[in-house]
Amino acid sequence: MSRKKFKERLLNGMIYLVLALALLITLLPVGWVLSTSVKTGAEIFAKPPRWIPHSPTLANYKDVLFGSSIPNAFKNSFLVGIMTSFAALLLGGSAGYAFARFKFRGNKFLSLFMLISQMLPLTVLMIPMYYMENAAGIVDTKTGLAAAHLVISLPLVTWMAKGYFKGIPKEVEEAAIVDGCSTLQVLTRILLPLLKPALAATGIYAFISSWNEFALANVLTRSPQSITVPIALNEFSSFFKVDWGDTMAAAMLITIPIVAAFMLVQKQFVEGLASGAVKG
Amino acid sequence: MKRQILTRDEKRAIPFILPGVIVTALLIVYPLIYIFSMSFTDQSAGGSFSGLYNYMRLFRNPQFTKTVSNTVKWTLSTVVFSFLAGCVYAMLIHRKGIKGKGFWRSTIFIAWIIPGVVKATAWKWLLTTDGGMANHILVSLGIAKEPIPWLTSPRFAMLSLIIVQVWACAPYVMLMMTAGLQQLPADLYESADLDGAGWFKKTWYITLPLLKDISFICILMLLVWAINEFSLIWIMTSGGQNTTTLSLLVYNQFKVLNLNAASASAVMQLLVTMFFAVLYVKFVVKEEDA
Repeated sequence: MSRKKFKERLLNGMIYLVLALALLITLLPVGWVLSTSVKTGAEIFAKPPRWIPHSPTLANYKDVLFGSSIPNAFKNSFLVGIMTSFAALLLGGSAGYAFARFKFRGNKFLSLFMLISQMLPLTVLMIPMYYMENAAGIVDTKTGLAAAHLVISLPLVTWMAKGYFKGIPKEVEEAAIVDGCSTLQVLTRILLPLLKPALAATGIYAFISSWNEFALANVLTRSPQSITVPIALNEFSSFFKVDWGDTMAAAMLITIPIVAAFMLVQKQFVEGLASGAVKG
Repeated sequence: MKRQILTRDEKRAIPFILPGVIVTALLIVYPLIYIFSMSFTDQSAGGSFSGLYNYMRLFRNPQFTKTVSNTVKWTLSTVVFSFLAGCVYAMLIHRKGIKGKGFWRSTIFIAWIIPGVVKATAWKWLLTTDGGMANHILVSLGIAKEPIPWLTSPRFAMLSLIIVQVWACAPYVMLMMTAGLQQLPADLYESADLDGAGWFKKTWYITLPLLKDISFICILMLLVWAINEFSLIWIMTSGGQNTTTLSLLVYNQFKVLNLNAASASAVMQLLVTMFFAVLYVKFVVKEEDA
């Protein structure tokens, strides 16, 4: 018996070791970004490279916050994200409600089309999208990019909202109707208050995907009035001589709001993952 | 009784569904028709109909053949290794007696949450040949004799990209699989224990068959993500050193305004992705009907 216990302990010890290694590999790039972001220009290229900077500095953050395209890109990203997630919630939320609650011809086809749309390659959509937006005169505007991001957020919100509405038992509604509520009253007084947290989380998730999106933004934005944070960050590291300190400080600043937003929606996000409603 | 064109439910559904349908038609359906019809025209001759000419030219283009082989290499390796690594993570974390399950899960998951552009930029810096941290670690541990040109040589560039994608996607598989493992019925294992089944038998006869569905979803998602991945490859190598996949090819052809080639490549990418997407949808339908 004690031999078995010993073997068990040894095995668990080895598992901890493997997990610690996995954790180390996971955090290696994160740690390196953080470390680089607080180094002076001279220390960044020190040989051999050091993990803990000898003279840590916040100068890179100051550069990024007060002397770069990042604050403006932050503003753009924020506005684009708000526009797209608001529109997606309105359009996708109501479509999801109809998919879940009404029987109509084409229900299955349309809702599955929404599911499939989440897997469409953005590189394929970007070409027609560019010409359409060009014709409409909205290339290189925040509105144009927000509209393009609906390609991602609308199917996502529709599909998730459908699941949420389906999750509420029909009896709840029937009881309300017996009590004299109209369909619309049921929706606004009962379903929406019940689903407020879930729908808010979906909206935040739509916001995160817009914030992170690169391929479409890369084609549809070019000037300071519309470039978003991923584009601005990529410009940092595309110069002939990259200032890695500034780049990594910018990377940190871009990641923090996303990680924070993610913490808010972790639960719904994991459920969404399981239902296939999340785009990578 | 008068025959109605629309049922009562349909009349009620229309105001909810119509705005979303119109926007989807405009932003998704129309662009797809657009690119499809574009691929059958000669854009350098004012858009006249040219049949399958664009496709013929594309298939004869050695660059396209090379891209297809890169895409296959990239997709297969990232899917297989992400899936295996994620499964291993999940099984280790799920094991009885392992403490801090939530801690391991959420810290490993960080790799997945980080914005794609940040991932790519961070790794680009980490993998810098001269003075990069990765090479410093490998050389000082004696694993590599001299700095490895990760992103600047055809020998290592694709490998580097695969490593980064696996690093980012394995946590997703881990999360899905731990969710699956948690739903497994504990009594099945107890009775298997009573029957004297060992770890291997329990895994082979109980765990794996019950995780079939969730594995299927994971693998399909990984496939579609791999084929559609753009930012990681574009930022780290710009498709140089034999790392151009279909996404990159479409983008590059579009950028130089070779629209004949770009539209044909785009339709090819669309067909490949949609093949897997349809498999996925069929699976979801089966689940919903069940």
